[in-house]
Amino acid sequence: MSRDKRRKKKRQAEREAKKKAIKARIPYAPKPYASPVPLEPWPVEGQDPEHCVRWRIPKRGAMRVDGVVYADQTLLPDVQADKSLEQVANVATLPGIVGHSLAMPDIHWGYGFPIGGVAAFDPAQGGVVSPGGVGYDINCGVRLLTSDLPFERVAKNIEKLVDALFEAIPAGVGSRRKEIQLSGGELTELLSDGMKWAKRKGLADNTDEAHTEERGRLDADVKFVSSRAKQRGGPQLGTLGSGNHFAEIGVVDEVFDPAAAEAYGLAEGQITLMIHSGSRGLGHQVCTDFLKTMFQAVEKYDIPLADKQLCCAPVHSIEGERYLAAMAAAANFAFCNRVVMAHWARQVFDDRYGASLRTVYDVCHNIAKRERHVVDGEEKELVVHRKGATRALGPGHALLPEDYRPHGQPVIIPGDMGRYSFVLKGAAGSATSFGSACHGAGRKLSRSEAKRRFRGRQAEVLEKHGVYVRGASKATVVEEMPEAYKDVADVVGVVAAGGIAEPVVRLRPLGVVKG
Amino acid sequence: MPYTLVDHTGDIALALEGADAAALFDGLTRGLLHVLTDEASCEVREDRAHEVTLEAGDLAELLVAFGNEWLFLFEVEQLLGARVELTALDEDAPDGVAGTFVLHGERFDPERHPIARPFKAVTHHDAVVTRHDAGLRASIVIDL
Repeated sequence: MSRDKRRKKKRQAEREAKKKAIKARIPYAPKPYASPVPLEPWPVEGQDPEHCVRWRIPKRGAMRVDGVVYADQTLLPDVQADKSLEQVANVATLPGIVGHSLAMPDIHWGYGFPIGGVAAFDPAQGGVVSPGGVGYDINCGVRLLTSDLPFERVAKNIEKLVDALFEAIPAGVGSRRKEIQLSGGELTELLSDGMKWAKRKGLADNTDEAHTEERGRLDADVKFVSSRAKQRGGPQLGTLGSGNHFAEIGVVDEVFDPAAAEAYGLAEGQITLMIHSGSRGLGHQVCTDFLKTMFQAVEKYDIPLADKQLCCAPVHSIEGERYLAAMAAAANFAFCNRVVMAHWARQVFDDRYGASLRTVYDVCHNIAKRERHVVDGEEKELVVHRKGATRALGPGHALLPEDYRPHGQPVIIPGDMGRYSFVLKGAAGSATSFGSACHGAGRKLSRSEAKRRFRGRQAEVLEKHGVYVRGASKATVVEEMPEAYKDVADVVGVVAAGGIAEPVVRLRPLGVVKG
Repeated sequence: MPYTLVDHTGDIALALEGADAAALFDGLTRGLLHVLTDEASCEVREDRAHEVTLEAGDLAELLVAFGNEWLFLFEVEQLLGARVELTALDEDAPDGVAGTFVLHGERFDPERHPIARPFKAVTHHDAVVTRHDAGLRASIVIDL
C-alpha cells in the first residue's frame, strides 16, 4: 500500500471514529414497544366495561409511567393504524413524567410526541420540557366568537360574507395588511404582553382578555426569541397561515346543555365565527432554534431518548427555562394573531350587518405551561405539555372567568369543514387528564390520498355539505376535504364518556376561509 | 428523479437519492420547491444567489438545517431557491459536518408562482441518510 493510500485510509478511519463518538454523545433509550402496542381495558369508574373508552399501555422497559389512551371501538382501528401508540410509550420514558402519558381520542402520528398527546412533568423530580411536546406551531389554537346575528339574516348572503372575510383576513403565503407594521420595539412589547398589548392598541376588549386561556398572556422573556424568529414572524401578525388553519362562519344548530350555552352566550340559530391559527413563522422558528439547543442539552444532562424528536432539558436548567420563556413569547404572539384577525372580522360584520362579535373563548392546542394539578393526593406545580390537546378545566376552577366558573371551561373542538364542530365544557373528570381534552377530529386520509379521491370534485362535495369555501391555495382545499377527517362526533363521544368534557352545543359550518 | 414525494399522515416526506451529498441537497432543494409551488414557474437568476455555511451533527441533520435555511430565506428574503451548489463539505467539522452552499433562484412573485403547499418546517423526524452501492439515500419529513 502506498504512503498516500495509507494516509487516506488513516484519515478515513479517524473520520469514522469521530462520527461514532459524536453519535454516541446523544444518549438513546431502547423503544419500549414496537407496533402493535398492546392495550388493556381500563374502564372509567362506573362505566360499562363492554363500552370501554379508556385503555392502558402497561409500563415496560424504560417507561416510568403507564400510557393511557382514550378511544372507543369505532376509533381504535384508526388509533392503531400508525405509530402513535409507540410514541405514547416513548414519551413515558422521559424524566420526571407523572401520572400517565396520555393520548386523546383524536391521536395520530406526530414528531416525537403524538398529536393528541398530553404529558405532565414535575420539575422537582427532574421533570423536563420538550419543544417536541409542543410542536412547531406554538399556541396553534382556536378563538370562537358569537354574533348577535340570527341565521336568517345571513342565510342568502353567506358567499358574500365569506368573500368579504377572505379579503379582510390575509391568508396564504406573503399576504398581509399594511395597517399593521410593527417596529422592533412594538414587537417586543407584543411578545412580552400578549393580549394586554392588543388591548392597548384598541384591537381587543376586556371580554377578549377574560375569555382567553391565561388571559392571553404567558410569562415571556423576549431576549430568548432569536432575531431570525422575529424576522420570520413579525410581518405575519394578523394572518391566517395555511395547512389546516381557517376562519369559519357557522350556526349553532343544536343545544345540549342550555344552562352552559346561555352562560357562554350561545343560542340555537345564532351565527358564530371560529378562527384557527397559531404563532406563524415566529413560533415555527422558535421551535427550530430550540431543537438545536435541546440536542445539546440531552447530551449535557445525559437524558436517554427513545426518539430524537423527544429532545428536551430539565425545566430547572438554563436551556429549559429559556425555551419556556421563548415559547411563552411565541404563545403571546399567537393570542394576538387570533385577536387581530377577530378585529378584521368584526369590521366586516359591522360594515355588512351592523353586527358585533363577542369572544366565547380562546384556547391553546399546542403549548407547555406551568399549571397546578393533584398527583397522588398532593397538589404540585407541573409543566403540562399539550400537543394537539385542549385545556378543559372543570366547574369551580379558580382560573376560569367568573361568568363561566359554575359550568366549566368552554372547550372548542373544530371538526372538518363540512359536517360540524362542538363546544364542550370541561368536566370534573378532567382532573385525571391534567385538565385536558381532545382538540379536533384528527386526519383519516393522508393529503395525497385526499387529493387522489377529491381532485376535481371539491365543488361538488362541498356543495353537498352546503358549505362555501374560499381558499388561498387550491391544494389546501382539496387536501382538507371533510372526508379526509374522522367524524368529530365520535371523538367528542369518547371524551364525554370518559368524563373529561361534556357537549354544550353543536355548530354547523356555512362558509370557510382556508389558508 | 432526485426526489420522490411520500405520504406521511397529515404531512409529507421527501425520499432523496443521488450519487453523493451534493445530489441529496439538489434533490432536497427541488423537492421543497415542488412542495411549495410549481417548479417550472421558477427561474434561476444570476442576481439572486445566497451563500450560507451550516454545521450539524451528521449529514441527515445538515439536510434538515439546509431545508430550514431554504424556508427562512423564502419567508424573509422571498428567495425561491431552485438550484443549490454544495461548494464545500467538511466532514471533520467540530460539530460533525459542515457544508457551504450557494442557493440560486429568483424573487417570489405571487402572480407567477402559484402556491401549492406552504410548510412550517423541515423536521428531524426519522431524518436519515443511508449509503448503498450507487450512492446515498435520505428521507426528510416536512411539517405542513
